[in-house]
Amino acid sequence: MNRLPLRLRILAAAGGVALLAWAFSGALFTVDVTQHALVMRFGKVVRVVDEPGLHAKAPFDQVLRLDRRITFSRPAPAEYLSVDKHNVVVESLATWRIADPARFLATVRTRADADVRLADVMLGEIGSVLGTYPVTTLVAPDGNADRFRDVVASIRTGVASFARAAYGIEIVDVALLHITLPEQNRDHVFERMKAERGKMAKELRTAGEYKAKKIIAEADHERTHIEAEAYEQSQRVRAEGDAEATRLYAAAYGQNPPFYKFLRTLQAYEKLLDESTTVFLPADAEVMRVLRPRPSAGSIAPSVTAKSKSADPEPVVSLVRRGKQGAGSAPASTVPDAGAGQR
Amino acid sequence: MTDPHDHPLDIEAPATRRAYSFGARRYWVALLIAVAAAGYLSTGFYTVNADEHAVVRRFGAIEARVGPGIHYRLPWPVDRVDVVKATSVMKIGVGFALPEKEGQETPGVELLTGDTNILNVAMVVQYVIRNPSDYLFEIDQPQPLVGTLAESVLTEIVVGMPIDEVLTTGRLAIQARVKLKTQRCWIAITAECRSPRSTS
Repeated sequence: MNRLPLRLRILAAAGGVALLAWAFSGALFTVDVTQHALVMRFGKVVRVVDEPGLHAKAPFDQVLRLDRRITFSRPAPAEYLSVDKHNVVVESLATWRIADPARFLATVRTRADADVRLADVMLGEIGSVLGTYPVTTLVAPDGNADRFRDVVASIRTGVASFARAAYGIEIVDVALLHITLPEQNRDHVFERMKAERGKMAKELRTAGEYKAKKIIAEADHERTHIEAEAYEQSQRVRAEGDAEATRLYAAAYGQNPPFYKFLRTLQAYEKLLDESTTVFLPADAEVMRVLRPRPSAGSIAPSVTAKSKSADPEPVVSLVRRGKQGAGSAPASTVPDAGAGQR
Repeated sequence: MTDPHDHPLDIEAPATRRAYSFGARRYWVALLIAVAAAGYLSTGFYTVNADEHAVVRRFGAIEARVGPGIHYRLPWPVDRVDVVKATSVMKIGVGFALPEKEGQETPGVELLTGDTNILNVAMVVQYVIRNPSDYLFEIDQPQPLVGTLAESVLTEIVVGMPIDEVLTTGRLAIQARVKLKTQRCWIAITAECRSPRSTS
């Protein structure tokens, strides 16, 4: 009787503690900052707790947690027809979160399910919106940010209102990405791109060649111009030099005209007479005057005298002869012979 | 505890024996409990590295945001700590997965330009986490979302530009605009998080 009540009492105490612990732990639950908590009593949602922290409930209530973080769905790309009958393939992105947990739980339950439902809504909405716009609203080379945004905004409002009402999902953002052409158009596009690039290259090349030619022509023109100027300058300098030379010569010869005549005669001989020259001239030819053996009453003697300060004409002739021999032996003999023959 | 009337003679011996053994056991149990409690409480120490930030949650609610150093929190199941790299630069490919190794070919993403040419664009977004609690608790998969947002912005920009501009003069402008607009999108989305919660 002693042991039994003791054990009973210990058992009762342990049972009481366990019951209390169960009641206590069952009456408390935590809500994470990332979660919605739905308190369910026998399958019915009695309360939605959004405030994170420790909360109390009846021990027999169950808690179901839903993620309340923002997530996103990317429905598979689909082909749409614009109002001007162009096909475009568009991929879409919906950023969303659970706004109405009870509604979400009643209609969708899981996130994967939500992805599927949202994809259907998105495809339908995008199709109906894109069907009212020409393709140039999306694809145009002029920086069409505003029109593009209008399209996206109208898709967003459509999807958002439906998803909020039907699934308790709040659409945070909708975006279009990967706008492409259908697979069967790609080859065509690449062909066209190739052709365009080729044309562009050709144009550039032609323009380059034209430019090169222009530059060459200009350079040629400039060269001709420079050459002409240089020639003109050279001619002028040469003429000036000639004039100067003539002036100097004239000044020099003007100092003693007879000697000049004599010198010129000698120079003429040098030019006229070489080794094989045979000249026939009248004996009184002006050129032969100096070679005459006999001194005539020519004007040479005085001139020679005047030059060499010698009174005797004979040595003058011999002097000339020697000078001739100095220049070349044959003419020296030939000329007197010729002169003799002439006589 | 015991009934004194049942065994008056026997009362002393078993009682003392019981008390003695009970006391010794109590001593050991107390010691064990103390050690266990100490061990349990000591699991609350944690360190945050210099390039990290940590967010402490108590019963799921954000309690504190702590910087580098050694800190104490109440052990499980009261407090939880999440650590994020706060200063290191993260990067993600726009529309494609970045290659694992350096120097590998980046696949890029095919985009349609405004004059219906097809271009392959490889763009990489680099970012730092400005607000760890937003990054951890408001967005489900923040890393892919950054890449996807940048992709949508890039699509919108490229589809409004002729190919030659994208290839030549517009490159830097595209980079700047993608950066700016992706940041704006992100701010808009996280601002949405902080708007008053719906209650039903």
